[in-house]
Amino acid sequence: MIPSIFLIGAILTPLFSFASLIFLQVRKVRLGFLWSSAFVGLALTWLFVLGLRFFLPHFVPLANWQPEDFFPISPELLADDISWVVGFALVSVGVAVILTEATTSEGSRAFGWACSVLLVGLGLFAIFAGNQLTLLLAWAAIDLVELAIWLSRPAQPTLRERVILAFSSRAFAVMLSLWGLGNPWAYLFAIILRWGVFPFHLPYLESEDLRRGLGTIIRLVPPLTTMPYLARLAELAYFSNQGWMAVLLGFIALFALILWMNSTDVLEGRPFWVIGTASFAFNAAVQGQPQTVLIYSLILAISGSFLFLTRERDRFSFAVMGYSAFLLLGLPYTPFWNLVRLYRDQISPSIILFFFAQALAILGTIRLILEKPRREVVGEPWSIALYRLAFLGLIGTSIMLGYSGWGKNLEAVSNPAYPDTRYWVEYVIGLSFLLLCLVTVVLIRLRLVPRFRLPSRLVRFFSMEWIYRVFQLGFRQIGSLFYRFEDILEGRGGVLWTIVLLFVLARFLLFLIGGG
Amino acid sequence: MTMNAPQIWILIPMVFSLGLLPLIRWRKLVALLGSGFALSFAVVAWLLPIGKLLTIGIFDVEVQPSWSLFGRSFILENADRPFLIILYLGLGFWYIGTFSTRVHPLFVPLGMGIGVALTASVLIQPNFYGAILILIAAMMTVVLFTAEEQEVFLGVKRFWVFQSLAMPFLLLAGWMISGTEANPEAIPGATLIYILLLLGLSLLLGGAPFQSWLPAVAERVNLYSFSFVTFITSFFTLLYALTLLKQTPWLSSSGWIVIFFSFQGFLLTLFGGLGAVYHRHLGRWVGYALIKEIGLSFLLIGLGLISSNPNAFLGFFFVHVFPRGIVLALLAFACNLYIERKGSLQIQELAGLGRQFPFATIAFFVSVLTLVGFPLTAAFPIHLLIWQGWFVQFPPIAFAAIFGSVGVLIGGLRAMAVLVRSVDEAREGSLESRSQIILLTISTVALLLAGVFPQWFLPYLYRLGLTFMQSE
Repeated sequence: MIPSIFLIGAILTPLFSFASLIFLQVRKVRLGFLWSSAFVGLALTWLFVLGLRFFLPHFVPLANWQPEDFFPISPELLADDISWVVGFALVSVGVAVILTEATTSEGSRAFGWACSVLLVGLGLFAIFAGNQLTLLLAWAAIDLVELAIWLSRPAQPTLRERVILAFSSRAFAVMLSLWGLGNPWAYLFAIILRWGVFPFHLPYLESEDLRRGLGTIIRLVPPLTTMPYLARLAELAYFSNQGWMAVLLGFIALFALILWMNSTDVLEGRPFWVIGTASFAFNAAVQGQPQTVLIYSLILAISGSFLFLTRERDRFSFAVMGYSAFLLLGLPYTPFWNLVRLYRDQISPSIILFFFAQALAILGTIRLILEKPRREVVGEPWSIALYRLAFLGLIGTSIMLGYSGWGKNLEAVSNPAYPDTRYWVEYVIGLSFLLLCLVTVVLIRLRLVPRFRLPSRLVRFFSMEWIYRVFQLGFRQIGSLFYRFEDILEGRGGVLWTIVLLFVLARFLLFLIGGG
Repeated sequence: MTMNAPQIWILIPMVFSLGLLPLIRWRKLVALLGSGFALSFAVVAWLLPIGKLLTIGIFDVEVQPSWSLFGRSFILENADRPFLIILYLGLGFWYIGTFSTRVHPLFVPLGMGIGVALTASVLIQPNFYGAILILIAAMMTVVLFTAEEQEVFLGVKRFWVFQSLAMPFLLLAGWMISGTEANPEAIPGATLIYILLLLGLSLLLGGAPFQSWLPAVAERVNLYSFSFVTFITSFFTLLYALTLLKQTPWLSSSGWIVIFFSFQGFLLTLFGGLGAVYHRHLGRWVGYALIKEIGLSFLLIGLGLISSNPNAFLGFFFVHVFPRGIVLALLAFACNLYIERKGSLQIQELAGLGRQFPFATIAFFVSVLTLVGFPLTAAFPIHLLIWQGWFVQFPPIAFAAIFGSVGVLIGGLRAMAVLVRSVDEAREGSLESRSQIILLTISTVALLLAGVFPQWFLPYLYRLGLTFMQSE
């Protein structure tokens, strides 16, 4: 009973909090109340998820679709060692987002808080999905909320076109995934689209809340919801012996992190960070390493939040981002040491690609750290304290998830996916990354390294914008053909053309069934 | 006391619809009478058993299932009550909507007439005579559409040509079927039967390549009338086809029939999806969405015919039509509000209307999602069943069905993006009346609840369908 309350409460509390925020906003209450409502909702959710830790694994059936002969799977929730880690990371990021928003006094931001809370709730629903059907339902709900957020913003028609395309392609992927209720390959498309790869980059940066708070949640929730599923696939070694996938993912990671390195600021680089780190996680799934999938999901969420939620470059943020870079190194006995499990003692093309990609991720982060301090975060002392508390909370979460709790449980499982020995490479690779960083920092300080800038032609190539353009051109060409066909069928000679078409179809049908 | 079921369900409503004709100048009264009659008949269909003795006070009432007329008989059995309930609930639902939206005065009486003619087409024995009654319904449809437009435009002409061509094909096929009691595969006439039957069904059901009238008509006529007529026509004509298959076992087990339904479904979902993507008029989009929906019904029937227990599977046909009915009514209602404001459903003219009609636009959005079988909507379970079934049987068809849904989704979202665009005029605030808001809210909430909790409605409708399909 109690674990069910924790599990269902963790999902319903943010939804109720969202409803109360909307209600309070309609009643035009003070901004402070709105913020408090959002914070209390997420803090309660955090407590529920934390409480759930002591009752793992726990399973809750939600509904029983009938007739069962035709609907053998019904929605259900499952909290276990895998989903709990990702769920806890997400809710911690959610709390951090709301805490960092304490420094703002803009009334318009309340809508963003409500949406953030809602997305966290739906994200938890997806993360704790007990089967593939539930996961698809949760993905659909997240996509809908995201669409509503985008459409509610003033934007150019071309941007709206991209939003519609992004939503439709995700919907297509979700529908296609129904094939995969017994075949995880069908999920590949849905998982990759959830990273925000098509259209590659929705350039919504003009609105301040989409830049920081809500924007971070929107970017992080969809890829994060794919992580428990990837970890489960890794546990089953579903993609083992698929070397080509590792190479492909290596290229994706490399391209994305080149753009991360090249981006002018952290928010411009955010989508590339998401794609890059998610590619690492997927590669870990291909290698059959659930622990590494989970570590990369933590890097995506927690290290990402350190970078994206930092408002100004002050000394505090310097320390926070330094910690983020430190986590990325994967040094021995640090919380995220498991991330270097990807590297084995045999060199393969994918390992080389991922090595360079990880180096770029670290260097890109260091580049941000070394940016000149701009100004201090302004606000009331208590709001600055809350702002800093957000990052301290994230540091605590990373230590907690990295060192204790889930790790022991997972390693206790007698499954080859959870090895208890380490390769020698895992001890030295982090150190080599550290060395690389130190050399780079020294070179930068000595002004011996020119500023990293890719030629614009290469940037255009890596941004994959050309794929979108080709797609757009094809779409318009098919459209013009379709309009002609439509005019012929609906025109004055339409009936005659219909008869001609009937004969063509009949002939084709006969051909199909082998009638000559 | 003995009563006769076909007389109750055919004759009384027909007389009632004729009786409404002199009253059409009082629109509200006609709408009130029509909706009251339809809802009370839905209740009667639910409560009144056929062929069983019922004691009401001091009266013993028995409703006979059969009625002979001009040498033909109409047979309405207990198992047929489900579609009566659906028909009259649908009629009542649509008629209630007429209180708050603009329709032609003939809508209520002719709608009732069309419903009755279509009911009779399913009940008549021998079954193939139903084609004549469907043609009578088509005549009334033409009258309704042309009365609204005050001209016989090309789309309606096309509709009429196809419907009237279907009748001789189906009659001939039926006549030949009734003449073959032995295994038709063994007789040389079987190929001709298939050709006549499949052509007739394609023409009647708006199958490929005879679907072009749907967007053409939807662009011109009142969408509320259009969606109502196409909803009940497609439901009953498919029911007619199912009855034909049910009563002729060798037909339903024929490979030709399975290929026909699968191939038609494949083409229609593909074509509907493609057309919906490229629409520039909301009415045309509804037309293409309907093509995709008809295609999906074909796929459901095709899948049912190859399943191990066809009757159990085809019971889902009734589940399939429930969300479609609500969705079409909501879409048409919303579009009628837009057209009353702007005078056109050209997509570029709709900019900002979403802010003036927020409830209608939310209803429109939910309807779009439901129509495409998006997860968490009422139509999702049935789409799930069809997509998964075809993925197992023949994946290209499942891809086509999904493509159709995504096409309709893209088209609907293109309209949504224009509707919610901010323009200066949109500062006027909501222009919906209280009754419109109530109707839209109730329907949208019902649709959402049915989507989130499908277990609340799905088993009941499925049982209705199963009862119909398992009857002799």
